Amino acid sequence: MPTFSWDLAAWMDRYRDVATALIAACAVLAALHLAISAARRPRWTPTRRPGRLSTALALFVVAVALGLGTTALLGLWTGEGKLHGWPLFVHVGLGGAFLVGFALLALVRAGASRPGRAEVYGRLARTGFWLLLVSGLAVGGSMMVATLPWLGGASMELTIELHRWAGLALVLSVIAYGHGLLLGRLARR
Amino acid sequence: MDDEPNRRQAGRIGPRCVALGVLLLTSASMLSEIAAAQNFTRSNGRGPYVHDIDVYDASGRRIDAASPGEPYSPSETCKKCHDVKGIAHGWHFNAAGDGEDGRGGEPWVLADARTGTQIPLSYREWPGVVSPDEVGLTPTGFAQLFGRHLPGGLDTYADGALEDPRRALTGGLEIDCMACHDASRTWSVERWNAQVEKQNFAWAPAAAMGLIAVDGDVSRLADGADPAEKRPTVRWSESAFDVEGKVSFDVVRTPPDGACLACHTVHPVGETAAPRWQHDGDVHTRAGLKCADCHRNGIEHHTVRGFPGEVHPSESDISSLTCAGCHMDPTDGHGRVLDRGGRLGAPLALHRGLPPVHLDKISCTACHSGSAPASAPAPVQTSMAHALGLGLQSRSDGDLPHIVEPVLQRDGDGKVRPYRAMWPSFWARRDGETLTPIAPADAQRPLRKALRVRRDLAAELGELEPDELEARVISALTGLDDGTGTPVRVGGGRVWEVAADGASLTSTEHPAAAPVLWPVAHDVRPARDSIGSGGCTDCHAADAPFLYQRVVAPDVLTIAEPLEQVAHERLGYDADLLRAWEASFTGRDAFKWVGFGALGLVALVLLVHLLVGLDAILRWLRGDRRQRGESEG
Repeated sequence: MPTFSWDLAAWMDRYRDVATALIAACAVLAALHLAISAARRPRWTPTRRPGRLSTALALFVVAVALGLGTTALLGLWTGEGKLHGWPLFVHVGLGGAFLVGFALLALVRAGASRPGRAEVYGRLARTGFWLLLVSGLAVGGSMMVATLPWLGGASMELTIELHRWAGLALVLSVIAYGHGLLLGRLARR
Repeated sequence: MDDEPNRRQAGRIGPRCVALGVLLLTSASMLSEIAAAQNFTRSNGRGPYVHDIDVYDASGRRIDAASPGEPYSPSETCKKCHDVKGIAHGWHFNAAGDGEDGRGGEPWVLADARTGTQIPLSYREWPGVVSPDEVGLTPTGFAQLFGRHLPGGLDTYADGALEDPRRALTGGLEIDCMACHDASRTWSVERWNAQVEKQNFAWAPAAAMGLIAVDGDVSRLADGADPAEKRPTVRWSESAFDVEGKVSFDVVRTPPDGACLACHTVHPVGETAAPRWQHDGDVHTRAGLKCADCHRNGIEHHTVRGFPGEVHPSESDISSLTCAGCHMDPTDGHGRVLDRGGRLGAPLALHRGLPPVHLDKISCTACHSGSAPASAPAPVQTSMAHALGLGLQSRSDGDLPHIVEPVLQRDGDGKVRPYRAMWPSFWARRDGETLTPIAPADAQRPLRKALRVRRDLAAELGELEPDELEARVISALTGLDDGTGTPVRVGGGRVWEVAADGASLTSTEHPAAAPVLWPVAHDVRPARDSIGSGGCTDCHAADAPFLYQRVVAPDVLTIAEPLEQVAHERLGYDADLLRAWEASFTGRDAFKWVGFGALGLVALVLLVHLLVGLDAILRWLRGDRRQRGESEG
């Protein structure tokens, strides 16, 4: 019978379990909420509809970020707590795609997602967007800096730790963002 | 009636007396052991101790300078001050089952060019090795062959388990302290070996020090010869004793590197080997360290071997006497230092830019030790296998046994390590799955007629056409058939035997034909000469030896195309994944530019919107203040 502990370090050692549980819980909650919302179809009229290209780009980023999380967790579960092999390769490949899409998304949607602007997107989508930008910057930065011959072993370990937790934050932000986008599409206009 | 209480009283006192007696006896025994241990002489100084000492022969009699007869016995001489019995259990002296077999190391090799034989031998039960008994080697025969690079100690193998009827003639090949602890290098391996080859074991230590000249050759004596009459005679050097009748030994506590290298030299040979003057040697010795700085031991001589996870018999913590223990600060997943490295001023290994997953999968030695991997493992010779250190005019690069390095292999802990490898080659008889090697001496006569080899099987049969060679090997195998098993030839990673048609050879794989591997640890190359110092493509490239080295199973007698394996196959890597990584590394620089560009763009967007947000907040605050001011006014 597992016992609960307040020891933060002990929880950090259990990244794989914590990340899986959090992502699964958020995904389930979001799906449930979407299902309920689909049935009730709340009324919400945005002042301006987002362009098709920008929506496609947003969904692409959401999909790639979810792919990153999936490959990471898959790798951790199949690789005895270490990400390597094909999951790592796919993860790195998706990482490159994410960075490009993520930068374009930031350019295209930042203005319209600013608080106080006309409500092109719902509040959840806007919050998710900014969280996505911040956590994505941390995820990408910690990955890219590790490709340079600057960091030694201990710093590299620390960077990877940062990458893991920022990655978890990114996936949670993306769930919120994607959820917000879908909610907007479900609403009666 | 009156006696009854007394008897009861006696009955009560009796067990107490017994218990008291046992207690006293145990205490006395323990005290005597402690006293004995404390009786060993100690100087406790860090400087050298001048050993001008009396010497004693094997029977424990002091050797009189006026009429010295018998050679001195190291154990009888040294035990006056040192725990010789304890030393006898040390790693260098306990091969024959005295304790744990330990991690596999370099075996002895029974090599014979005439029969094309190279059989790995050890009294330790390591994978792939054959016990000397299995090839008919008695302890005396073993010592005669390999004593050249044994520091003595055959008597103490398995606490005397290696009894030999010739011991009465040969005397014991005792642990010779001076083989390692001689500061002045008076101890000569040539003089030692000259006596060992003649089975003059008891004479070897004194002869090696140049103290005596020996007349006689025990190897020529029959087993039942009378030791009193036939044993060699001794002439002591006139300068052996000082005026007080003592002998001076220039003893050093920590053995100099030369003593270690006498038995642990590895010498690259072949076309790819650079001349000796171009070798840098080990980076540690260049930096001033001695072998014994890391490979330490106490008086019990349990020398630290220095591999990760090694458990010392003394239960001392020796984790910092490994590569990582010295050069890294092992941390947990959160950067918390578990064990502080840096002994002896070792620089911290930073491994800048190396993803830590590599350190989980690759040993330190894989990138830093031995010869750097080339397109194929390179041939080397070793002291133990090729009698390096002895002056021989007949040396050649092709001398048996054929040993190569580095061969990369994944260990039980999943880490890749470099090994030296030797593929066994020998004639044997097969009974089911059991192979019994035929000793070269027993194989020579039957083979001579069939193979018509005079000195060197490989050289003399190497020129033959394949059909002719096959016919000769079939003839040789037929000649070896004595009805006790199917004659086979082991070599090149396979076992060959005559096919059912009687006119061809057929081969199978067998554990006895698998290579014997032992880890490469030295020479250690400096960081800038290690694999990976040139970047990721040192390994992640289609022509990188680390993953694409071709490991050929060589046979002394090449009957067919040798078995070949590419390094990544041996290591169990997914070839498609390797190629995928290699392809990704071709565009790595572009990837970095795009990645950093994208991140820069996002950072800029965030910064702009942060400033805009701050501006909005400030304006809102100002507007709020103005509104408050208006309402107050």
